[in-house]
Amino acid sequence: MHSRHLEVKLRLGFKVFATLTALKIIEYVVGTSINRGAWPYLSMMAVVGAWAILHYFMHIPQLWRRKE
Amino acid sequence: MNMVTSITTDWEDRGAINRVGLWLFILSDSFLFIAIIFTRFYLQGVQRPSELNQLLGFVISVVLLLSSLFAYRGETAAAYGDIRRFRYNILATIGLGSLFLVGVGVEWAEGFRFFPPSTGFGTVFFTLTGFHAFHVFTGILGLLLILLPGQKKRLGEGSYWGVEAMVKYWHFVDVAWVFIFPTLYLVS
Amino acid sequence: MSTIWKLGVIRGIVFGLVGTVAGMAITMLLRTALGLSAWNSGQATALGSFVGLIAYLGGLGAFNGWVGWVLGWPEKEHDATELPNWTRYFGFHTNHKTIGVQYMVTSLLVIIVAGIYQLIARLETAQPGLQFMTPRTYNSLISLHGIMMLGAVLLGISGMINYLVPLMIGARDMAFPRLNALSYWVTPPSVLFFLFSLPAGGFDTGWTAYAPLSVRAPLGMQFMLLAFYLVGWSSILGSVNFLTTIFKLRAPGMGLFRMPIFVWATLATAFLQLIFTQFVGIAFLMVLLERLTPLGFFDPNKGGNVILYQHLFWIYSHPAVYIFVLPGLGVISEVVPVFSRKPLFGYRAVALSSLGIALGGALVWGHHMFAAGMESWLRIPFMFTTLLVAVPTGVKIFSWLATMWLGKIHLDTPMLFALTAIVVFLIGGITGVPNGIVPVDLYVHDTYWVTSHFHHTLFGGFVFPMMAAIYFWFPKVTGRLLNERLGKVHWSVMTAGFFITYEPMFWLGLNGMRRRIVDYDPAMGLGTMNLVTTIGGYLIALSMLVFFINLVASLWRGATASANPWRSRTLEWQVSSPPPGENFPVPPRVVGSPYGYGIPGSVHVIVSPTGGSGEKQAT
Ligand SMILES: [Cu+2]
Repeated sequence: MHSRHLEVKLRLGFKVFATLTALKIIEYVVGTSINRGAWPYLSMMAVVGAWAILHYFMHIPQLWRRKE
Repeated sequence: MNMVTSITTDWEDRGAINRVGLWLFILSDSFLFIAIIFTRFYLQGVQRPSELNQLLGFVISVVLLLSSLFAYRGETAAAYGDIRRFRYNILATIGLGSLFLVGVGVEWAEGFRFFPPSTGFGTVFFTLTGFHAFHVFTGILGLLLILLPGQKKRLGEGSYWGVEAMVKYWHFVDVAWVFIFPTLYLVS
Repeated sequence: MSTIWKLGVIRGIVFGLVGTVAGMAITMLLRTALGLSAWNSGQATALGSFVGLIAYLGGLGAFNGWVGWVLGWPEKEHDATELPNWTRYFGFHTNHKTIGVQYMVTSLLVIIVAGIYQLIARLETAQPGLQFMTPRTYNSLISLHGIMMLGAVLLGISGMINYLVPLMIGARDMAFPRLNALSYWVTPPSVLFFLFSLPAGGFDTGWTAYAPLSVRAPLGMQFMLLAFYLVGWSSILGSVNFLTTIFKLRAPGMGLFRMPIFVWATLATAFLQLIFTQFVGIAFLMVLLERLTPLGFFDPNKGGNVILYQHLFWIYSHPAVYIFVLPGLGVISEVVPVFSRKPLFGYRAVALSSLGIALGGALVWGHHMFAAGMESWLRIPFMFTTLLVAVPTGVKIFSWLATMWLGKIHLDTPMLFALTAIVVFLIGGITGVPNGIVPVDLYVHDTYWVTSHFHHTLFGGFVFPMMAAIYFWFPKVTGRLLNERLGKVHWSVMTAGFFITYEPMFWLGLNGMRRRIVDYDPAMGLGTMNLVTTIGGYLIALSMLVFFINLVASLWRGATASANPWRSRTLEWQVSSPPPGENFPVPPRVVGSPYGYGIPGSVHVIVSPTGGSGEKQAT
């Protein structure tokens, strides 16, 4: 029971990482192929990526939630 | 006079207090990076020398992301008292972090040749990557500290604040890079 | 001998000296290894200061707690030292009351030094013509006066906040006592660096250290940059502590809208410190890096831009004014209701106005750069935001006036200082409005008008409130009352001295007297007023002398203070004077507003008998 929880959480980590890597690839493609005016897309993707890390990896909701 | 060396507040949870303090510190530290990113755009606009190795930048970004994944796994394992798994994952984080630093070193060697620190882009490039690399370096030192035997006992007792703090700091360094990478390597 | 060695500060000094020498030796070895000439004064002193600082903190014992925690040593119960009581001020002690006193005393010492610098410089400008000073000495003195006073203000507000906030919210200590002690103990080396600046050649940039002048100034510049950088980190770490303490350690029942206004002011100030200090830190660091390395942030030949410095600098240094004055305005809001025996008028509006000032003040920095060649389209937006900040500030002024209206006003020394503060701050605020308007600013920029304006805001927002605070809380801190008669002499001389110094400066500024000049044309007819200003400055110094005599004499044989000599309702007065080490052995229970003066049946807090003097609440 206890360890199954752990496995679920570890798998969630993989999913987040896969999403972030996919985002990074898109970012890279956008950044290398579009020569002008790419910054709105790049900043949007950066914000989404940062949010994912803050939310899933850094557990920012702990600050305003009572207990897990 | 009765000195209080550590306050044990019976009506508050020590971990929650520490967490607030850590987040506030991270908030403050993020403004350091905001200031340098502002400097980049203020001095150089979106200019970028063609010699900058975008592919290498991309690779070390993924390396840092991967290290964040292992850091997450390490903290989660520590939270569930799985000390063996915690140690392997944190070791992997440290290894990937060091690999990232090596990548930055390669970049710097290239940079010294094509856009040295005394040029416009060189100034912002070396400052931004330098401050970030300093954070990575301190993060590695911190992760090494939580692997020391002193922490093992605490983990056994179910308190993993040290791990949580260092891993959060590590993720923060990754978040900073999420913004730095496009700022330096991709905008044009 | 062994007793002296037990004093943290002695160990710190010895370790620090060894570390400094080691750091300088490392620099020389590195330079030799790189094939350069061994000695570079800038790099050697920079690395020497850094290694020396770390060694000093180690010797002091600043890291013992953390090292022990990391290595898993068992926690020490209490350091039950047999050393006499006074020694705790000279070592790494974590009680917030000890640290508050340490900060306050350091602040007063820095104020003395920085004040003397300006008194010397003022002698020179009292008459046209060069009397006894070179321009560089003059500029170094006024620059150091400015930056050291600002350092002293940061120390002063940390002192007040450290002592008062945990008591006011019913906590036993700060959230992170060790971090708190560390924040204090990095400031003595910083004071030392400030003092080194003059012998190391001083600097002629003014306190603002604008590039490119600061990049070329003598070695004294570097000491000033390092010193303020340290104060900055002290201030950031302090703010982490203040905010966490306010968020997490409030006593049961102490909702946000039951906190004293001083705590609200701390909240706003701490947010500003937390976020904006980073900008001045990086600005100063960039100047240092440009001096010591090939990087070129401000040199156009290297792709830099001097305006960048001004942006980064003022993004901090304008909000810094609010960092300086908000706690002082909080003190006024504490003192006025007590001595008017009436509830604070518009509590909620005053509480939120602190946050409003902080928020608004964050977006106005460009008004310092109207004449600097800043992007011209930014002028109008910055003018607008600047004028907007007057609104939340006005809320506070009206609240104080309405609180005093029809009150039973007692004119004790704290109240007298609070009243002067209100008047002076009001003049400072009103004279700030024309500065914020672009066409006027282009005319008065860099004149004595501006100097006088910000001395009004800082005297009104910090110096006079701090005096009010010292007269008000001295009994709580020491258990003795300050002498009222000497206090009134201090107040009258200081108030008179202030007006004699600074009102003529408005006139001087409007008639063409520039800042930061050692000499001026006799034909301009500015000599008389300059002489008056100098005399006023010496009057302020005289009043400070009275003040220090009062402090020492009252500490030595002042009348014993009861727990609550001013019949105040806030929490710190409900425990003995001085408060017990742990403040409240049992958490107090907060049940109502802190300002219900004269309202029958109104209670702020219930302190259990074991937790304090057991005195009845004043109404
Ligand atoms: Cu301003």
